[in-house]
Amino acid sequence: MTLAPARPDIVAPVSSTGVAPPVVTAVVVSGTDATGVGEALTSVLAQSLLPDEVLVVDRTGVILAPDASPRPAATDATGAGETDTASPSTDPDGTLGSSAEEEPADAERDAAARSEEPAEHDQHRGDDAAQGPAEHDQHREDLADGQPVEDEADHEDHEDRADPPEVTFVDVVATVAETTTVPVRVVTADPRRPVRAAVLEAVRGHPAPDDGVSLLWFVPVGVTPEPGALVALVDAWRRSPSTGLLGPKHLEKDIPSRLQALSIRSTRGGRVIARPIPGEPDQGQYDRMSDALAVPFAGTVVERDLLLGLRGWDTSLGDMGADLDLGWRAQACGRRVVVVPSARMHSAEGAVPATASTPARRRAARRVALARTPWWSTPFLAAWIVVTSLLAALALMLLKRPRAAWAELSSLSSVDPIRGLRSRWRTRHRRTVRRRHLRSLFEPRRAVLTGWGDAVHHSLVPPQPPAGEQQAIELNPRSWLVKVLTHPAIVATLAAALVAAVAARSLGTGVWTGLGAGLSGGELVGTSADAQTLWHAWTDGWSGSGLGGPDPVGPSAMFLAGPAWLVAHIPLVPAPASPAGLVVAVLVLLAMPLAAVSAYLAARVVVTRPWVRALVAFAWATSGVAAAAVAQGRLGAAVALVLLPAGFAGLWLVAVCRSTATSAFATALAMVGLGAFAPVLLVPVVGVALVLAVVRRGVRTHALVIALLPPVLLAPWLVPALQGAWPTVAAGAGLAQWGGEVPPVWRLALLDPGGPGAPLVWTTAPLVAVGLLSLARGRRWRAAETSMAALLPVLLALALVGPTLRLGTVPAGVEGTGEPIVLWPGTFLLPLVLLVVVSLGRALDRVPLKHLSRTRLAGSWMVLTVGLAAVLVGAGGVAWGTLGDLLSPWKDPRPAVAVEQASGSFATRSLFVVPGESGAGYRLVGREASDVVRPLPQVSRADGQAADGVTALLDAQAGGDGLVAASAVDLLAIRGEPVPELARRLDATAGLQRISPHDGWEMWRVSPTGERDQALVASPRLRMETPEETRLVETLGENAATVTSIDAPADSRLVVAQPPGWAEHAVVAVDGRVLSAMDGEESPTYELPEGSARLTVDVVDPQHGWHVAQLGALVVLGFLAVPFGRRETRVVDR
Amino acid sequence: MSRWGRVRPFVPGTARVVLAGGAAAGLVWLGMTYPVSVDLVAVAGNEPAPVSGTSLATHIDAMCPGPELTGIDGVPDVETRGTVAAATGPAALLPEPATGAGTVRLLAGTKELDSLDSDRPGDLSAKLPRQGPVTLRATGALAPAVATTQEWLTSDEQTRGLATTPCLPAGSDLWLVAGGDGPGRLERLVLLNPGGNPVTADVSVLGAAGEVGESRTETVAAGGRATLLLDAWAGDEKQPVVHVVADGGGLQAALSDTWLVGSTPRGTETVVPTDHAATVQVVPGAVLDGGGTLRVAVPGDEQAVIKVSVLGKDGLVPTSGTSVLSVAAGATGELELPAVSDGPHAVVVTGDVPVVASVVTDAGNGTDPGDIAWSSSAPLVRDVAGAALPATKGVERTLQLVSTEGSGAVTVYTVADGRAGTRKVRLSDDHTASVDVGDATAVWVQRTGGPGELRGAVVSTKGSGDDALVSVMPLEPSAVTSPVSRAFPLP
Repeated sequence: MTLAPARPDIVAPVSSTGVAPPVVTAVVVSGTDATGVGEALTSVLAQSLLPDEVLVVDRTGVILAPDASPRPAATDATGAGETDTASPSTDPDGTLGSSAEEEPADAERDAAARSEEPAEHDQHRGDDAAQGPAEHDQHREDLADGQPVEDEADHEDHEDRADPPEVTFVDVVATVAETTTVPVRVVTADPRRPVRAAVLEAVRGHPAPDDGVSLLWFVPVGVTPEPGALVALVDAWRRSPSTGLLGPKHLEKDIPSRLQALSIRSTRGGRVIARPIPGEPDQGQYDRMSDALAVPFAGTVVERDLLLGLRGWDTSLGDMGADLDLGWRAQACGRRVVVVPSARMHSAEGAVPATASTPARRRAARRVALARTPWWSTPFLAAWIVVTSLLAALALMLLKRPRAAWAELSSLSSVDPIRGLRSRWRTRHRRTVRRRHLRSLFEPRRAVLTGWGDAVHHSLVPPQPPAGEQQAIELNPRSWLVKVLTHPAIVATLAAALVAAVAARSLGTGVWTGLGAGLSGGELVGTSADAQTLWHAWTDGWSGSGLGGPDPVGPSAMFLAGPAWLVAHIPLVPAPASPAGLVVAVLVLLAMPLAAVSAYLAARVVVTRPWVRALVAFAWATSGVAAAAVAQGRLGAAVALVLLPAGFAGLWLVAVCRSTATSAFATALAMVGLGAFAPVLLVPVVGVALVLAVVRRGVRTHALVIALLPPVLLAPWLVPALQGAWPTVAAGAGLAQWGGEVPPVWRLALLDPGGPGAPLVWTTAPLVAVGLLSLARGRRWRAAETSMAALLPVLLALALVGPTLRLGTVPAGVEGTGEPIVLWPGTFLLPLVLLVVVSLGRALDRVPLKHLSRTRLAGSWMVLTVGLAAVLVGAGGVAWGTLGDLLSPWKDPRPAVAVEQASGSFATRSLFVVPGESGAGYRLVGREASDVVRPLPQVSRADGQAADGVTALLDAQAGGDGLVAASAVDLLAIRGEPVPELARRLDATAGLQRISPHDGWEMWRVSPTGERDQALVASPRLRMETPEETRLVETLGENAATVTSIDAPADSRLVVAQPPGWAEHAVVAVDGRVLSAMDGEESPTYELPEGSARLTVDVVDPQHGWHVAQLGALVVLGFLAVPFGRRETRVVDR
Repeated sequence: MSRWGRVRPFVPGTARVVLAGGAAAGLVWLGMTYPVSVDLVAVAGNEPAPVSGTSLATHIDAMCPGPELTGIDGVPDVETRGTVAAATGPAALLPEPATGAGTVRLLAGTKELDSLDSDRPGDLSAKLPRQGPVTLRATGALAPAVATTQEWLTSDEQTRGLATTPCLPAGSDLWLVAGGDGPGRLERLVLLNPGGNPVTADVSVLGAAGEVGESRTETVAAGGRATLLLDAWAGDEKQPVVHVVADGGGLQAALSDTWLVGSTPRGTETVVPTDHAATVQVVPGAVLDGGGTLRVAVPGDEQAVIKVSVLGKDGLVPTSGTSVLSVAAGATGELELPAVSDGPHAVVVTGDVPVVASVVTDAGNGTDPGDIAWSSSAPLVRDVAGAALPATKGVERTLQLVSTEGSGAVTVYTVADGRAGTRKVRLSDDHTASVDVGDATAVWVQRTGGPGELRGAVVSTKGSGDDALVSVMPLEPSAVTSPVSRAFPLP
């Protein structure tokens, strides 16, 4: 393989061949002002191997008029030319500048100093010197040709442009040039032109040497070569005849031990690999490099003929792209591009772009690859770029690097066939090397993946302290068990669990042993629901337990569905009787220790001492409100106990301007969960966040995220509910108090919500007192305590107003009939308690313990003791007061056969009746028993409309059969020993057969009466009434949804045992043809076409789009909320 | 450092505590001084219907046996022309006003004899049909506090007597005490089925020596009645007590006791079930002017030792003779009661095991045509009890009340001409009281206080002396509320 034309003998090394040396022309390129030119020029002239001449490209844009020049300057007739800066006439004292007389002496000295310097070189220099001052005229050349300036920034022009040069460019050059004998010529260029274009024009305008090979050495401003750089480069050039382009090793200007750039490394697809990474320590790890695909412009040595033969740079590709392109083309032409690590240059930051540090450079590199690939493979490469960019963007998004992902996506614009063709045409040439022979020059794909892996590792894993420090910390190693047990978080959690366990002694052990079926009592109604039940309750247009209703179910069902599915699918553990009940029971029973965990984690943003954090967590978890929430089965409050500290921490971070996007999204996510279970608690959270958005401009976006995202995400439920069911929203999941006395105001102010589980009266007073006194911490007005002091009355006012909100009236059949249903007093006490314990924690956190006198140390400990005692007194009050006896394990009152019928094809319901003074309370229980907490009495529920039917059934009147058929009731259960009259009546009722009692319920099996229903054991949810008989249509889903095959005789009807309103929310289709419900029927009835067909009954989701959007937004929010990588990688300086 | 300089750092903290504490104290004071209430329900605009704490009965079915002396194949029917009357109690008996419409209907099968849909108090009556039972069906607002009574009076050569029988809802375990031995003593058991399903009745007869013969099973059609002649298998039993157990529904039963000695009718009576078996049975309205006979039955497996006492207006009536009776398990026993004058009395039967009891008195002189009256132990009146009083010519009625185990206070409403007269009665412990109801169409008793157990009976008489016709019916509680009459969804 021939990579290069035969090296002329004259350029062979002198030592070996004795041929002529190359003519080296150093091209110093200025910025748009004179800054740095002198330094660059000086460094060039300080080389151990002096260049044969120096060409200074002046891009300052200062056109010196002949008459304005401070010294005589000859300008050629064209107005553009070279001027001699070393004219004797410009030498004020006659000692500077070159002179014909001095030149031979200089040449001889140089020749002596550099034994390898060819004699021809000296001769050439001597010829130049012999031209005299007249021939050293400075040439000025206007290179402006009207080409547009590239949008890519010229990083060579990084010098401060705001500072006007105090001296003119000519002065600077002249000053330096006077110190050397090397001819220095200045070529002016339009500053608007790209550097490389200007340089190329200057090179073209500069005559080539008559003999020998002309080497160009580009030294832009900002790059300072070490004295041995040029000799190393030239030496490397001479060692290989095929070498056409050489690049040095760039080090950081300020810290030379760090690498700045070496070569430009790219994959075949144009993905530039940053290696070395700018700033990487130089340990000689790249010093064995030689061949490269391309080298950066700065410091490059290139053969003049090669450069011109390749038509120079394609400046449409920017800086780095143009360099990559030039190297790529050189390689394709058979000329090597070589990195010479021994040639060292000190480069300012950004002066040597060798990486795709900007989107423009990234795109340019892609375009280079597209332009240099064979035309037939361009579409494939473009497709590859698109696919890999998309995948990389997706991966970066998943790694929460949105900017990098956007940069990847932006590189897609490089797939531009027009620009690729133009670039290909501009730099057209005949390639002489086959593509596969250049394979080793490209970075393998493995390098890309390795780079990504390193980046991920870097962002994820914090730097480990040196081994020595680690060992120093563990001078007294302890066992992991001791470490765990003495960890403040564990201690706080266990202590809270202990208090809860002691207080729960009143519940007995049954609540634990019967946990699989869930709990009932208080606000918990007990249910046999699984994830599917909860999910459909949320999605179906007709939902709810019993006969259901059109009211949308709160998103709490959706949040519970996931855990319910999880607990039902735990391997090696039998599925619980009621997965939803189990999840709710665990949430409620473990609310106190879970609250301790949550509070401990959240308190780290407020309190620094771990043991004080533990005390804060313990105080929060064992507050009277927490205990009452557990004792009364208030699911919403239990969730708030866990999530409210997270919200508080998020708001605190915003308030102190330490929030990150992740913390804001995480707070918003927690508040979405809080809003799903306790929407009213969003009111103070959103209020505080909005205030912070106003007063904290630096984190306004974060505050707005917290304030707006939760309501927006919950809007599909909140908006319809707020239009007609405010009480439902206010009640949340178990935040309503049904009757009973609201504790007096002073007890509320003492954080005592009353009711079962409330602590002993006055035991909460010490915590309130010390919490209030803790606001005295801080000696400045602008302390956080001031805001907390302002917030305290607001939250107290909310807490006092809360129980005055009437949400309804206790219906008949429930204790306290006719009394008002109000918001649970503890609801708004929760944020108040949090504020008080945080206030206490902050005060204790600042109590000094070191470097104190004995007296002051005793005082500090006394303060700590008082704080601890206040918390312990409160916890003691909770433990003493017990959790009451409201909660008990729930047992499905239905016999197994009824449960099986309900969950099977018949999908029947059971009718439970509780006779009482005020009448017979009833509840229809089917497979859709989705209410986990006691819902507010709603008028729109269809169950209420079945009252007449239930009465008729119990009174054995006409109409009882109608209820059976219309609601698919197959079991009638009456609580306790029914009045004899009722039992006799039911015994005497056709269609009721008494079966053995079950768990305190007297039971009657209900079977259809009449001739039509003789074939069926029970009245099913879906039935097909033919002229001759009634057939079962199996029900598979919730709310009569199914997909099944039917064979309908003529004049058959499908009767759905659902309320009439159900038909508006369901789509009944036979072989895809939607049927319309018949008018005037008691139950939704549809005429079936004759023959075999596929019946589909689907309960549509009227908010399907919203629900999908909600889920999507939740997933995205969850993704954004998950902290990824180290905090320092997320924090943005403000 | 100046004094202010030393104090100054503490000013912000102190101010925070004082201001926050002061604001909190102010809020507490405001909250205690000016309590407020925000009605979110009203704001939402979906106020539910007012909640009622009481569930008034909305449906009452009761059955009258109809002409008891008919309906047995092979046995000649004895025509008895009687009256069936129904009444609705005064509105004051109801704990809350009954709203909406309501009807009271007397039905003979599907035929409506009479109906009522007016306000309270109201009454209606009709002649007894020739065959079959009479059903009282009260619905809606007129269902609470409704009572029905059938009564017939005959005085011919074969049959003589006054039979006043309350019409009752169905029961499942019924004890009927009446009848006796002798060729002219006929006992007809009438089984009534107010339900919609056929009900099977298991009928057994206890006698002095235990169960008499084999128990019999009888199926009663829905809404119908079945009549059994007990003499067919217990004709020789001197002191029979009938036990009816319903299976698969509820039944009502009545036992007609007709006594003919030779050609002299000695009386007739139709009894309804006694109070359920208990260790204490109280038989109000026992007419003991000429003495009487207490008949008890012991349903259980243990022998009963029974103590008998008689209560009068002045309390316990000292009597001579035996007051203790021992009855074998599963058998019946009788104890002669001494004659006690001065109106009806109450007989208290206290056993060491549950028993049922009734008292029979012979109003005649033993040789001439007379009448017998069975006074059954009466159920406890917990709230409201009442009786419709048919307007049978010449019949006078007295309400007998007795309080045991403590004193009691009641309000007695006597309804005449559509208007209710009120009388408050206080009863001391173990005392009886007698209230003359005159020509009232109904009498209602509402318990108003006292810890005692209240029972009552209505004694109807026609004539006096040996010719008197007497009938005693227990005062039956009337359903005002029903635990299942109003259904509502539970949350």
